[in-house]
Amino acid sequence: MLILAIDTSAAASVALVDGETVVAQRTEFSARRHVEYVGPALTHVLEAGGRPDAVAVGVGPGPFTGLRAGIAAGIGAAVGADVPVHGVVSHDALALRTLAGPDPAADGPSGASGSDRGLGGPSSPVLVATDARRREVYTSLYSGLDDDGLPVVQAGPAVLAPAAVEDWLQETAPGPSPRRVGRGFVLHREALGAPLDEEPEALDPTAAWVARVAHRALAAGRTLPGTEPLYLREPDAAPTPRRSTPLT
Amino acid sequence: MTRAEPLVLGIETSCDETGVGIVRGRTLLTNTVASSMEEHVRFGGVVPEVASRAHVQAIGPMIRAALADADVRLDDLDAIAVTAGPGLSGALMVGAAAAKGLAAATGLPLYGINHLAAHVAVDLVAPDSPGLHTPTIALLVSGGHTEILRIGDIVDDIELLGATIDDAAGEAFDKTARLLGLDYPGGPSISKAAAGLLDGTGVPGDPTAVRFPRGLATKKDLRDPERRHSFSFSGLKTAALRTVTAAEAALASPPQQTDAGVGAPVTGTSGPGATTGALRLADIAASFEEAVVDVLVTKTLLACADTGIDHVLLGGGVAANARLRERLAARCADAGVTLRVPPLRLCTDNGAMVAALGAEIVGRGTQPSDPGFGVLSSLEVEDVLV
Repeated sequence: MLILAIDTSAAASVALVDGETVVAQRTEFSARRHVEYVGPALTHVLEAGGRPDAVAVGVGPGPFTGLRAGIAAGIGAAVGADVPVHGVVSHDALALRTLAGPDPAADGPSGASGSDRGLGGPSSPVLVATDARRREVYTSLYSGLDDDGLPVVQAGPAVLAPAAVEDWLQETAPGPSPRRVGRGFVLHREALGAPLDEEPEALDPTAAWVARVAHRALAAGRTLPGTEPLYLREPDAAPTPRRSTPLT
Repeated sequence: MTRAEPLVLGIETSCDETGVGIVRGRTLLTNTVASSMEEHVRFGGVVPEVASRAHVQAIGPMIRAALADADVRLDDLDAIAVTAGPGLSGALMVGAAAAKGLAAATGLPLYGINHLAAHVAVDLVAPDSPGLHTPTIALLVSGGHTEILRIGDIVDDIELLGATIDDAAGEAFDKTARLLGLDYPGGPSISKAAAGLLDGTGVPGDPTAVRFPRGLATKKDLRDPERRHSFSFSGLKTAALRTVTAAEAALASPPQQTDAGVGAPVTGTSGPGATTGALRLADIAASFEEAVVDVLVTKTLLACADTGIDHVLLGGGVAANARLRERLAARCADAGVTLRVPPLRLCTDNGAMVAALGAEIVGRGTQPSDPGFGVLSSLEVEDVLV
């Protein structure tokens, strides 16, 4: 199955993936201009591989405006290709990469450089933390891979102050100390500890891994969520109470 | 690509309407719109994040609905157009990103276009229109915009003559409606109150009861080319607050309250429905509406006189205001100016206007936008295509 995947929850990332094999991908880490990036990137990967069978979009959590750019682009691409569009929790992509072991073919030369990934194997827990801005992180705890090779969520995603993560872990899922994955650990190193791996591909969800999550789920006959973003925060707006006036 | 009748799909998400329209040349095939207006009521105005959330939910279904309604297949389309600005940045991004996805997957050329120009271009496809008349003065009034444009040509010759320097007219309606305890959106609420439809009397308010200020309309303002065609509604908003505060105080201690502080009388000319000399809410609403309409109409006709153009096109959601349409029609008639008001569903934000402008641009053989284009919340009106 050929899947076109987009994730703009942190990086701006687009990939065309056949099964688990990347056909083409474009990723900009530390992206700030997601809307600008996504047009040429989509054209590039689609030229490499033709019409996809499905579209998968990372639904976050992530900063809202950038996140929506990827989701909307995926929705548009799915209409354009006349194929279904599925949502994938972006943290699942980082968790799968950690639990399944990074594939050099997936990440390209920079991702293949040797660092101590894969410590603990597919059944030791993984804590993902990504940037939620406002001095908070989005965080999810995964316990390992299930029989379909998909990451199992044990807790989260939640939006938390870094200092609150340890207590949250103890309350929701006491157990062995998890491997730490994601840019949240770089941004809040003092409070959270350093991440397992500081390669960009290990810090931000990428479309290639979103596609692999979608592929494994669809191949197993499972239903993926829709495209609604995981906001975890209400809009910053206070309802204005109706003013009453004695005037008639 | 040059085609006599290009088939273009247009996407509009600059504010709280998710609009998708399809036109074939100058024929409107569909104008499909979902609005998040109801979701903004409890906030008393459009909340950008709430609007953006609604857009990303609605955009896919709206594109599919438009294609189905127009009975058009994607393969038949010649191009896609999308609003690139001006508007709410986060809201614009949803439409632009969806359009880029659609364009990439179909291989269709994508045109990022100007929302304000599109408001005018809609008359190219309005079913009751003889076609877009140029040159024309365009008065665009909505919750986000208050502009006077000179349109020599819808693609190549648009000039901003004046705009609001603070609130948009629709925003002023919203804020004052809230002050008067009326529902969002404020324009329709104030009109109903002014007509005496909200207090059970059916007696219209007196538009001369309160002499509200007309922003940037003193002789000095009108001599200043920077201000002559510009608007300001913040002073009016403040005056409304003072008037309401004073009128409420007068109600609380009825006998001898004399000074409203801004030269606005707290006792109005008593209409037949008034039981005392107290200012009715209908009087304040009518006077406020009159102040907004007066300055909009006056400056539009000034623009006509200054440019020698004898045609006016009204656009934007505030075109729904009956008082504005009546006063503008009367003053235009007096001045020998032709007024054109497209059907209201084409005056409010919609995708058909984007498709209409897109089709005009495509028809002229213009190259599409670079796929790397971004949205611009304050895109200048001269930039019809990004």
